[in-house]
Amino acid sequence: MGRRTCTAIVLLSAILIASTAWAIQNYHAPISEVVSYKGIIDDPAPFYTNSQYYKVFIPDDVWAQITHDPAESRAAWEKAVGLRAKDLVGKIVPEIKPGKYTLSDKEKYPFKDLMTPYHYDRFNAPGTEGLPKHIGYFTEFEVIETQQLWHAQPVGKATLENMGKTHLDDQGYIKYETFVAGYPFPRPSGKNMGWQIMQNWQKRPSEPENSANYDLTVGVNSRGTVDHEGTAHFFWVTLEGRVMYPPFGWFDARAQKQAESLIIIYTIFSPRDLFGNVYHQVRFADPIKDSNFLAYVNFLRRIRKLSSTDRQDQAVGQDICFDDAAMFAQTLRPDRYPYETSVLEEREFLVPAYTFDAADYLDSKDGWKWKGLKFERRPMWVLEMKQLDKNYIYSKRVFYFDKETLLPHLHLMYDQKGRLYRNNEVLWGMVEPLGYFNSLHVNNCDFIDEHCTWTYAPSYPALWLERKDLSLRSMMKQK
Amino acid sequence: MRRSILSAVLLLVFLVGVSVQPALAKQFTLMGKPLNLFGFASQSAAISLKGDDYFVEEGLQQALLTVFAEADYRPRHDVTLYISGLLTMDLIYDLKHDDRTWNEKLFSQSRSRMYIDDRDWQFLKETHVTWTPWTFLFRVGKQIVSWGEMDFFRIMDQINPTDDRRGFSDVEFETTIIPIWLVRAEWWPELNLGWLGEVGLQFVFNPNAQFIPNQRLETGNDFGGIWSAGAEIPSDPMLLDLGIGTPTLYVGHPDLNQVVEPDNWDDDAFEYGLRLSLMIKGSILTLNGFYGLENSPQLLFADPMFVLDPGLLGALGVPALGTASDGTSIVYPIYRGNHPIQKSVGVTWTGDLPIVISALGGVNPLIRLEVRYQFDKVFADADQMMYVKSDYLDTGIGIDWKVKWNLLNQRAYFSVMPQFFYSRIMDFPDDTLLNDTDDGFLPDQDYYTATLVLSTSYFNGRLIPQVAAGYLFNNEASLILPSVTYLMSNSWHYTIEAAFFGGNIPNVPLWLFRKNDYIAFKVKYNWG
Repeated sequence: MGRRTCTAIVLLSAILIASTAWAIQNYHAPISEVVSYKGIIDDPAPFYTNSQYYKVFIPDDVWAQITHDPAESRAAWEKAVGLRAKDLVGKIVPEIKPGKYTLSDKEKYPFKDLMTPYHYDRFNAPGTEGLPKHIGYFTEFEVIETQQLWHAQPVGKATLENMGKTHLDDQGYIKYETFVAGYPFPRPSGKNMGWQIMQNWQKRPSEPENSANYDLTVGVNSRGTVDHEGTAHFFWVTLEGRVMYPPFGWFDARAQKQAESLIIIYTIFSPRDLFGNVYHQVRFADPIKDSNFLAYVNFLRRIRKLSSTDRQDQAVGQDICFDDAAMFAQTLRPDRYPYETSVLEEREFLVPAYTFDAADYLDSKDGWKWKGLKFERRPMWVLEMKQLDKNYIYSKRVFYFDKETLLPHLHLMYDQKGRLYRNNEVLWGMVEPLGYFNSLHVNNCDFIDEHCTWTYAPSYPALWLERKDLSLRSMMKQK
Repeated sequence: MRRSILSAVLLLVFLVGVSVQPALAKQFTLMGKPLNLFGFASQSAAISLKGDDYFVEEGLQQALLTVFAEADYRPRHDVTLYISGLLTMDLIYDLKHDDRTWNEKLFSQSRSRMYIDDRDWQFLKETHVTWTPWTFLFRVGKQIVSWGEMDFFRIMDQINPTDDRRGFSDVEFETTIIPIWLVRAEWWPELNLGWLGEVGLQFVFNPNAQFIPNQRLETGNDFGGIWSAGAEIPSDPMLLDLGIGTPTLYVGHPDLNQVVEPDNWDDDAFEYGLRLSLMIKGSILTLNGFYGLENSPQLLFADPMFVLDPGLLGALGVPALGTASDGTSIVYPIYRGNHPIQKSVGVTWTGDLPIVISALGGVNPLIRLEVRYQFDKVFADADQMMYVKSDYLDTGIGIDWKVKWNLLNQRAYFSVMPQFFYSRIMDFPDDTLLNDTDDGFLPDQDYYTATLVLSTSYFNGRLIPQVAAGYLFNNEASLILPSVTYLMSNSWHYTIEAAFFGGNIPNVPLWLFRKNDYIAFKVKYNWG
């Protein structure tokens, strides 16, 4: 063996050893391991209980860095939002008390007055005449006491410290350079109240700030047949206003220089035709600046630039467009598809409860009913966003936002003819020791071409992620 | 060797069967690490839309079976192993084994080339290991490295050969690029510059472990099957005076025995590629350099030019003539040649056009641009008797635009993708016209080509109509490919497609396939 060969081997070995000795080891769990704790459908296993809130995937030293005392977090968050949900509910239809209810109770109690109209319709047997042929109907559930909920202590602390610093312009659009960290408007009020509610979601649409996410979807048509199964994972890194995990503030110098707010890298495993496709998106703090959107196209073996304005076309086989991703991903800007927002109602609703065990499931063998559901009364804002451009896919969007967590539970989208077109319903999971919420189960439905997409979306902190894991290089690993 | 690959595949299947735990339907863990197994099988049936003609089989003319399997395994987070295998068969050779016209038109004699792709490199599609330490990426193995931005016509994308034997037919697109053994190294440093989002340097080395040339469309029903190029040439008047042959001759099975291919591992056939990728304010710029061999040989006529009559006439230089089913005589050319050196540099750029029209759906168009300059490209003269060198400029520009047109589709957008290609033979000789193995007869210095793809979807993205079209301005030739695909589920896909060829100038690309209009039906089953 020649000297050059030996040198090369030694060098490569050194790189190999060094590459494994880097600060935080990658602990990304395969999809197969995640679903072994709970299947996408037909599985009543309590995912959080069984996975110990993801602790089974996360090394002990990392776990110690990312846990927060629930009592401290709860107190910090209560200070930030200045309310407790349980103090604001119980006034409407007080006769509906904690306990188990079935469809036969629907006539006995005025659920219509306490539920959202959407959930009242869903409280029916599948196939009920006059209702769309969708999945996710329920015929039994348990009402529990209203829970006091919180975000992690650093989020509460940053939210309180920075309250009042973020400004909106006269029309309600954000002056992005004024945002620092946390939820910018923990106590929405005034003439821009609707905009403030939505800006909370725009700035923190997902926690944790570094996350490994799994996007496991099942598409079901109006005949109840599965016509789409999607398997993907994606990494999500918040680049501005970081408070949960280091680096705090801006993610790095590049993020600060370019005012990058978010980076997502999304890898598809199935359907097979898309296996190896990777989507890469960088969003910017300035809403006027279009995001960078790239795709690694498996069969071309090329990175192709995609138009960042291609946001209204339907995702293949699913019931959302890009602007509907993660509940609402549209950039709010005055020069492109502007909105007029208003808060229609401010009241309590009986909605699916935040789960601490994730034991609910979709039963494909019983009419695709949503089972194991618990409901709780939540104080909410009903936010309407009227689209001012008649060429946009929707004429309006209606959201149900939780006043305590600031999270949306339900999103209804209406087409330009005023018909209910799509919905996006989230069952939030509370990852108690880590202080964040998962949009664990999501039901997207199309009311015109009757079809639904069920998503099971576990997500946990991914502290190993560095910029190199999010570069274009990382798109080309698959094929 | 073939048996050893088969054994390896069977071993893999066995290991999967005994060692893995199914998670989803097609994703597994093997020794605690993720293993993805996918595959598809497709069967098509193509029916000719032209009447009876020597170059076409009436009715069913192709029945392509494709079986593809791939596996991806990650023993570490920074290491990926990938392997894929492919089986392609045209069952028409079995279905029409005893068919009179199939045999009379000599299609049955192309069986050895077109029936089953049974060479080792055809079975083993890709196999490579990827390692991504720090900001590097290393990939070693049989793989595809794709450069360039254009679709249909490859400008910068010269590293991998292609399999074009089945022409424009209903082959699975992802099986037409031939992976070769390559070493690829990339470095993506983090520069943290305000104007430069990303920068990457890629080096590709082809050690010529196994030389695989382009698999081309060829003349001769007895060689190229239904996709034989239907060339017609005038006969030599002397032969006609002697009462030999017909005034017009078809071109049959070429003799390529004198075409030289480099030996495996021959360092004269090593190839090197270097690419610098820059992401600047959202647009992607690449600078590329390549030194290697042309994937197609440049063909010259040998001496003699045609297979000669085995009798006495052969001594007089009279070619051996076959007879086509329509009575036309067939000559059998003999070629010599080699794979010339290819040296090129080029630039690609893709970026946004800042035009957003709300009434058309509000999606801004993207521009894709490629320019390649090849030094001393080797052509043949028009008679294919000698080589002529010239620098060569090859360019393309494409637009990707999604527009909303509510009148035709209220739910989904239309993808509109026009492309325009321009190429120029920089030092076009004054005393001869040129010929190229891939592009055919080249009478002009400048060449213009346009393509267009239109597509949309209906019913939640399940029904996808598409029209693809191309026009060669110099050749006055066209191709239109309409298709409709129905994605019934993740697993079952159905496609109907057709092809219509048009052309006025004899013996140029597309005109050669003037009899090949067809309609095809395809069913595809995806596993995974």
